Amino acid sequence: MQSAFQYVERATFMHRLHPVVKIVHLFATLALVLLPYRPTLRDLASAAIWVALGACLWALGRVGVRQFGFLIKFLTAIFVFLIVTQGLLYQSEGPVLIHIGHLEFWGSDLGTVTVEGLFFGAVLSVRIIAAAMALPLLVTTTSASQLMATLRTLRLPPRLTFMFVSSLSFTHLVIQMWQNILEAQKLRGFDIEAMSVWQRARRAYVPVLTPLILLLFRKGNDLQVALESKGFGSTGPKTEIEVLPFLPRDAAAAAVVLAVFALTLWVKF
Amino acid sequence: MSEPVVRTVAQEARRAPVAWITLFGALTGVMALVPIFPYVGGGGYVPLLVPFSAIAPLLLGTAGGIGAAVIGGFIGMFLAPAAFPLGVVDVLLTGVLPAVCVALFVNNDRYFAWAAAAVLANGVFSFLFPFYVPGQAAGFAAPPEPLYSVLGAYYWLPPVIVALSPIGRRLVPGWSRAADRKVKYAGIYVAILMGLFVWWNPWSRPYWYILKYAPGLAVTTLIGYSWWVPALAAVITVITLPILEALNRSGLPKVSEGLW
Repeated sequence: MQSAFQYVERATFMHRLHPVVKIVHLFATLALVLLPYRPTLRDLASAAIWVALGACLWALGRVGVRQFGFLIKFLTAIFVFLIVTQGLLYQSEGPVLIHIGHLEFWGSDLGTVTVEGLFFGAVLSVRIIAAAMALPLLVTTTSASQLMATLRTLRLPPRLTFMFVSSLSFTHLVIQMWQNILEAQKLRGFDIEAMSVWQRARRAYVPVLTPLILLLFRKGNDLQVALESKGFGSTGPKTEIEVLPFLPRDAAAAAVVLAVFALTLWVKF
Repeated sequence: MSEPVVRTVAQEARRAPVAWITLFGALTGVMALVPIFPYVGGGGYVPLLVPFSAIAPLLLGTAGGIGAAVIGGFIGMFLAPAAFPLGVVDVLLTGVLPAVCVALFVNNDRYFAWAAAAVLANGVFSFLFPFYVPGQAAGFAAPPEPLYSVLGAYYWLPPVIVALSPIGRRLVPGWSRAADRKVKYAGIYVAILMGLFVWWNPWSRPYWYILKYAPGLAVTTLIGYSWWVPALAAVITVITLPILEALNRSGLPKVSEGLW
């Protein structure tokens, strides 16, 4: 799970593509996800087109499906849940697929599974797939330094950009420290995995989190000294280590993404 | 009438260092990988990031805590998209809002106008959206009344009472900084509980709208989380107090608006 959302260095088209194009794809996905959906073929087709684009981009970036196995399992469970609950709860006057009995529940008949409800669950599931495909594409095909340079180009505040990208690279340090403390506590006979849910909520996390946060803040002090000694926060013009030119192929790729986005909107409306 | 809240010179002196915000943001982001409660209506899970976001302003002060929550939210979205089904919108709802809401209650003596606006807007929003506005125009059936309004009021009315009364304006910020451990527990628990109540409405309603919740499912959700929000606040309080005490004794430089 820890390595799934990490940058993987490869020489693919998606890796060479300017990160702005991938960010455009990410925000277009967000816009599509936030649109209201109905159980119609048009809405299903609209979401499916965006999933198809995502699948093409994943293939171009050689993003491994296997490394997201945990996410796929998790999403599958969500899809089953969504389809079942929508099948039972969606207020439809259309055809009934399964009739168990009558159980009125504030406008919904829980005794019937409607075709429209199941279809709506399927539409929602396709939409979630479309949403879940955008982020891994950006993260696994864009290095931290490229992301930093791009965010700077987008005129985001340098302090915020630094904090975000540094935090992203510190996640491994945090996971490592968390595991070290867990193992140290286990050696002392404090085994969280052997505890019940109630025991965990009551007393499992304090002996792990307290030293973790103290250690982090101590490391943070050292880091702060290092940052200030290198002139972090000083005013004046700044230089860039990595300069990312926006090439014609990037413009073409952005145009394709926006054209497919327009197509999904046209199909939907 | 209780005494005005007294902050020490050290507490006033210093904003949280960038490095602390960065590292706490990383920690908060990593916690998105740990599920603590499934969405009652399906579609995702509440991650352990939420408690850490709520703790952030108590450790790093209002600005530092919210900054760490923003960073943690964005990182969480990258690490665990299943905990952020709405992407960037969920960064705000799941990642940042708990920090903002708790910060408002724990510093209600300073940010009273903001807190008052937040709790009142929260009440109006959670009552109207989505079953009355946009309501039938967007395909939402009328909810069962008065059950729906009573259950909804359980989430928005207590924060209104606390935030607008002397309990929230003087007592809670004072208790949260008290030397007595029991009083401090009480203050922090009330601040976190009220913060989470305010957070829960804007956090849940977009899902109701996007996933087209039936009124029955909305009522089930209101009931399903009714015990969970106070329980979560209790767990966060139990975790927070030892951390605050440990930081207080650590010799690390104190932070403005931090509770240690």
